[in-house]
Amino acid sequence: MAHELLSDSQLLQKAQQGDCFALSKVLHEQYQRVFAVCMRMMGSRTAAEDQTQEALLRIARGLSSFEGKSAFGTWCHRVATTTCLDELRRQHRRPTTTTLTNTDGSNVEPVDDVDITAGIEWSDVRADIREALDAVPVEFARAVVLRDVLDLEYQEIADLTGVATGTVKSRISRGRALLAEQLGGNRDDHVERLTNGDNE
Amino acid sequence: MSDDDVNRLTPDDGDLNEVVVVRLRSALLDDVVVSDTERDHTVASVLEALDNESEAPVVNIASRRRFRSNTVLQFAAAVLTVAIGTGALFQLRSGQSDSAELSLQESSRERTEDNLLSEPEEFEFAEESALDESAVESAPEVESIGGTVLDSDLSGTEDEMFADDMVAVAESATEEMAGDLYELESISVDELPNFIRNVLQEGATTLRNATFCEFDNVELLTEVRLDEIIVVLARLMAPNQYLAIDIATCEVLAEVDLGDE
Repeated sequence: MAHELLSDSQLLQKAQQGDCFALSKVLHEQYQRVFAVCMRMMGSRTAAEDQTQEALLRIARGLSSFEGKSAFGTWCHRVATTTCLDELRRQHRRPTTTTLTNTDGSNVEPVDDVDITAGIEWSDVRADIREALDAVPVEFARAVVLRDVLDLEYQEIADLTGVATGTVKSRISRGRALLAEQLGGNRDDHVERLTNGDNE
Repeated sequence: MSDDDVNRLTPDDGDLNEVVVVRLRSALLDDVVVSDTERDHTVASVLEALDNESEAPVVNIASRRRFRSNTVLQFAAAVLTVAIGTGALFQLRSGQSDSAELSLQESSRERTEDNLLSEPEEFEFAEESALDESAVESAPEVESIGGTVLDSDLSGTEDEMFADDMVAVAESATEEMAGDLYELESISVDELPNFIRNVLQEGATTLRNATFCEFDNVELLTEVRLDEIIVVLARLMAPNQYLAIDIATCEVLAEVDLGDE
């Protein structure tokens, strides 16, 4: 059967069995999400490209061990996140610009900024998201993105940002509330756009 | 999720935080600009890296460096030539069919390493494949990926991690190879044609270890111990022609022609 005619699950199965063409197709399909995760984590296109390649390599190598306990996209997302975490740890980077305090009270040196909105072409529909992110203090917005968009565990976020897990949780909670407030304020605009069909 | 779906989720539709999360995920992950050229290049690089490392679960990559079936035959012929020189060539005829013919070079394992290395592009050694496959199998599943990497990163240096990984991989590969030796059926040279017939009748065309010497335009049938040598049987694209390949050296030990059967 031609690869074009295979369903996603059949394609994945063939890739797991060693079909190179199926593997290529699977990697092509996962590229966008993996790259997006890497962009959010690494903050620059060049670094994201490097980590995307590494993540796809890990995905291909680990394909035969994937048992379908979760959605394949979710698994790839996690592999991409872990790949970037490894690289960030290797670089001893902290993706924050604010002065942070370690659990022992010492300050964490500010490091290169990571732009959580890098690489996005903002449509009119998405502009409100950008405005909301801009309106929320960066440490809160970043905590929400690391947790809710990139699916990092609290401890992983704490390690990355150099703050205690309790602080992470409070930042996430506060960030969600602030973002919800911002986006909720735009709700009427959304409804209006949808009504007018401007969201196309 | 489309823009429509995302934006129809308003705070009134459910938990406010969930709505925010859905919209954030969609905006921050789905709207990232991806270059098709970049994507193609990256995927090609990944496939090339896998190919070079022999770590991919790849059976056949027709578009990449591999050798054609006629090269298989040429190499088989070269093996036979060497065999004639050493006087270890057997011509066997099948008891069931006059057209079934087997040529076996019994002492092919004694060929010099130079002979093997004369075709460096064409063979990848089984020892690497066994290790690589084990490495692939040991790759972590969803929940374990983060925890494993995180824990190991915090507990040791990268060198230590690498060393530990290699030990684990080697142990796993050893166990796997030992299992193969124990489980594989053992036959003699005389039984090879009939064994192939039985395999074909049973429809067994799947190998547990798909990664080994990579030949183009062949279909892998099964593994068997042929005179105590583990071989892989492969069917050439040409009708009714089969190869017995020593997976330890990637040598073609026998070429079997079952004729018009």
